[in-house]
Amino acid sequence: MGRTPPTRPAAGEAGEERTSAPLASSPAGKDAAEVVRALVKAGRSVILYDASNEAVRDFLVEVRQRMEAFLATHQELALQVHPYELLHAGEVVYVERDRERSLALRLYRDGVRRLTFVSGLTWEELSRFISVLGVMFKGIRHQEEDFVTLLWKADLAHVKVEAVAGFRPEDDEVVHRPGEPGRGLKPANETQALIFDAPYEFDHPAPDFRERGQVAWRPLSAEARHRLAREESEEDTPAQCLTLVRELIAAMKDMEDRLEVADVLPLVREIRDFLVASNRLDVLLDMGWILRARLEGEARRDLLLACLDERALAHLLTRAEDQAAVRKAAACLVPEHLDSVLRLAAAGGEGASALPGAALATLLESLGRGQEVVLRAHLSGAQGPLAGVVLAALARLSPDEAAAAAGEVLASGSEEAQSQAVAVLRGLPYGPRVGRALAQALSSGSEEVRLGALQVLAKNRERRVLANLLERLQSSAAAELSAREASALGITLAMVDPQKALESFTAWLKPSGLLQRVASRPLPVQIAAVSGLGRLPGAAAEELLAWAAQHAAPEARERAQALLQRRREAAGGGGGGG
Amino acid sequence: MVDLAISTAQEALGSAVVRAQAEEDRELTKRVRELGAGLVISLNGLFRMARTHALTNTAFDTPVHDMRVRLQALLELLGPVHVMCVEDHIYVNDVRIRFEGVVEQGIALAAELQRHRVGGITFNDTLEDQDVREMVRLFAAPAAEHNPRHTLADGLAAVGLRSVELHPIQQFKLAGDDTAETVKEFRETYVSSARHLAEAFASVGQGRLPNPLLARRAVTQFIDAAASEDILPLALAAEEDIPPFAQHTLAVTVLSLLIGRETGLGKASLADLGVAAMLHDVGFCMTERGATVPFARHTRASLKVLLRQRGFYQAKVRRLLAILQHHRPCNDPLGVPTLYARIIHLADDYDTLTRARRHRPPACAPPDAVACMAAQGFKAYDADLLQAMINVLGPYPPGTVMRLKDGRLVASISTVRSPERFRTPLCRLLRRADGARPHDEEVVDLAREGEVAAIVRGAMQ
Repeated sequence: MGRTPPTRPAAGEAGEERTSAPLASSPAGKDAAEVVRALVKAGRSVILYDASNEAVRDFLVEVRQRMEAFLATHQELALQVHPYELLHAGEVVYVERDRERSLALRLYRDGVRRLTFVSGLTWEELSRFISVLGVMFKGIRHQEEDFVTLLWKADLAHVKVEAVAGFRPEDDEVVHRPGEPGRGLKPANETQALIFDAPYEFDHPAPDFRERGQVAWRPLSAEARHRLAREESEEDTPAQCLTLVRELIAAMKDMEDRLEVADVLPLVREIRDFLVASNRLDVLLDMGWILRARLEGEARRDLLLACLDERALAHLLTRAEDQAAVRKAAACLVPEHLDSVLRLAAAGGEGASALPGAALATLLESLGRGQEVVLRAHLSGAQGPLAGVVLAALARLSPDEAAAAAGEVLASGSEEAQSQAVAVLRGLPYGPRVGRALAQALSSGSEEVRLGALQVLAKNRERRVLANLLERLQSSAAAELSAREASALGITLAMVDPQKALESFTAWLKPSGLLQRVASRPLPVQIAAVSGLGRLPGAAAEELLAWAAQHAAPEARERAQALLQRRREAAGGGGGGG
Repeated sequence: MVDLAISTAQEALGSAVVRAQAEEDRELTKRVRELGAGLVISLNGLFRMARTHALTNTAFDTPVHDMRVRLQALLELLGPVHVMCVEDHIYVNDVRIRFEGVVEQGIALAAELQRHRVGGITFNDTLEDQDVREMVRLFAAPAAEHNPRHTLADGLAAVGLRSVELHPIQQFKLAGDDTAETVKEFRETYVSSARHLAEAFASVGQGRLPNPLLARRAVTQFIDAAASEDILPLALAAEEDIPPFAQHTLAVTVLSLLIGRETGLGKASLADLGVAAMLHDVGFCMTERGATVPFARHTRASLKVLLRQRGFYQAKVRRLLAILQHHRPCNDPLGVPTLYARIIHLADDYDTLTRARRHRPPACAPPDAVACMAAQGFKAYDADLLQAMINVLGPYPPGTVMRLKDGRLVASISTVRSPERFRTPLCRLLRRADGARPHDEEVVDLAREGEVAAIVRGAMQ
């Protein structure tokens, strides 16, 4: 193969700045330059864009058009690779001095010396070539492959690559040393000498086969070829990953020569990432099941945590098609997964869970057992419906912890979370913890929350909130209460301590002192008193209600009249109201 | 209208990048770049200082220490550290070192080494501070007029620094001047792959990361060569130039490739198979209490080593399975071993049966090995793969010594060339009918003439 001189001055000494090379002037050269420019753009596009981007599409369209046109006209595009240039028929068709950007230098450095695209090149082949270029431009460095082996592997029938092992020794010293034979390999160092000199006694004794078989040429059947080809197809890789995991687990249990968890962990993580990236979540879950079924203790825990990390769990749980799949996933989780599940649950934003509610509930109940403290700790930052799901799970696992947690949510959570907390408290068996939590809810900034709490407190006749209720109704802020809340406060007061309530209502509606009478109580307080009186039995309460129906502020008066009438109807009197 | 072909190409491009990223051990590359840059800067600084300061000067203490520590870290990471200057680029074990815009660092080191006609240094072992000073002293001294590199190497050896290897000046090869290189003799490729194997095994033996790229480069050359040449006999003929550990490993690799090709595996898969075969006994270089691991534990030892390679590769998964399963029979109760394991099992057993070891003749002559293995279809071996191997080796595999009916003695030097010539390999004449040795290399094509009377076993092997 002769070397064709380029149409520009030869390269100077290393490090010397070279002038810009003249680009091709012939029609073929110009066309070749356009193809190369399009190839470079397409290959480099993955640095800037996601492959699905419209810009990448445009680059690919352009490179296809240009390559097709070139090969249709000129039959062959042969590019000679120089450190900074690509030449076609002796003309420079590409020059890039920036080492980081230069296609020529990258090819050159990996040993590519000539690239030839020949007529018959399919788009499928060209796109495979561009994929290899993309990997190269992305600067990904493999331990397993280089550019030449990647191109070689791509097996492009219409792209010919001539390559050399990158460097050439420029040796002008040939020295024969005494005692050193001219041929044969010698160890280069002491470590190699150990390998060279070691007696290679492996694989002995040889297999002891006595029987002899027939040695005849027989073609492999198409079916056999197909079966073998299927085993090496990419589709088989997930299944092979599972086989490998089973093998590794067996090796971990071999007491003679055991593999440690640390030996296996990185590979489990790599397989996990591969399965997630290829959307083989079913196989990922199978891997979890294998680990769960075949390992115990810390090894099981560590490998399951590696197998189902937060990202994998997110994929698995958000795409789980039914509760059965979620339950299968839940069975592969270990208590240490709880934090991940909770973080994932919170990742939905604005209090919404990133996981379906039912899936989350299943997982929390499965993982939360014995970890109520962790669940409770998580609630401090939980918002909205998520808080409700977590609290509900906690309520099923430990009512006491749930009550305490609800109290914490009521102290600092969002309005929606507080509502969820009250809802959960309503469902818990009533006790001092629940009572305390509900009492705390009375300080909530949300009227809805306060009303919800009052309803439960009233129902359970919680005496410990008496002072709180009185204080709320007697403070100057009482004037700001809505009619709904004032009414609820009055009713609760009546339910909690009828005696004290009657005294208070009397004092608020019919103050004893002149001054008190002149400065009548604010309307909400009167409404509270009237509403409370409606729940109090006895003549005294009825008498006061009747008085209020006559003398209270108009809105309170109307309520009193209505209550009085209902009361009398209930008593069977049905007598006149006023 | 959406162009489906373009959409498919976009998907392929995206998945190629994603997959490549998954396969990359970014941490390792980054670390090599960092430590490599540090090592080069240390060397440059030391060479510069040596021009103006005596080596006993305490000003050397810190840079000497830094260089020693950086080298030690690289050795722990990579095994032998190859610092190669190619024009104004510096490579440490194939990773190009960038100097954050200070290109002069690379140029300065290259210039310093070039005075001695040195293009690269391999550090095979750690150095003590005193060793570093000695090395710097020798490099800083005027270059010898004749054979400066060898003179410097002798100087290094004289002060006990045999572990520091010097390489000739390297250049990027120029297009057009390497035609001979691209069609390099298979024998040369084969022997040099044994060198890479020795380096890989030695490195792994010291607990360092394996480097499958070296094996892959050799395997791709084998596959390319196999397209036009009968590589098994060529490989066997080259064995006199390579050490025993590599003889078995490389022969198993070549035979595995031929079986794989016969079964119709594609190039990419053949390359993965070849790398697996190349590393199938890597556990051999591990030691237990100072001795080589016993046979019973060599697969586990190999596994432990190869598990340390980072990044997900389909090839890695298959390689690990092949290593674990290549001694298992096809009818193993644990399940059928994977494809690569079954192929390597065949190649491994064939080589074990036919290879002479130290003080021990081969267990079988090649035809007997094939015949005995032929009875093991569906038992020890996959019947289809076994047939593929038979189709490759034939009844008279390379190395078979035969007496012809006319009294001549010949040795088979070819695998099966075609179904029609299954029983008639190409042979080399060993003895004429009268018992005399031929004067020159003489080839007998049994497809044209000669009939096998008997296989010669025993001493002639």
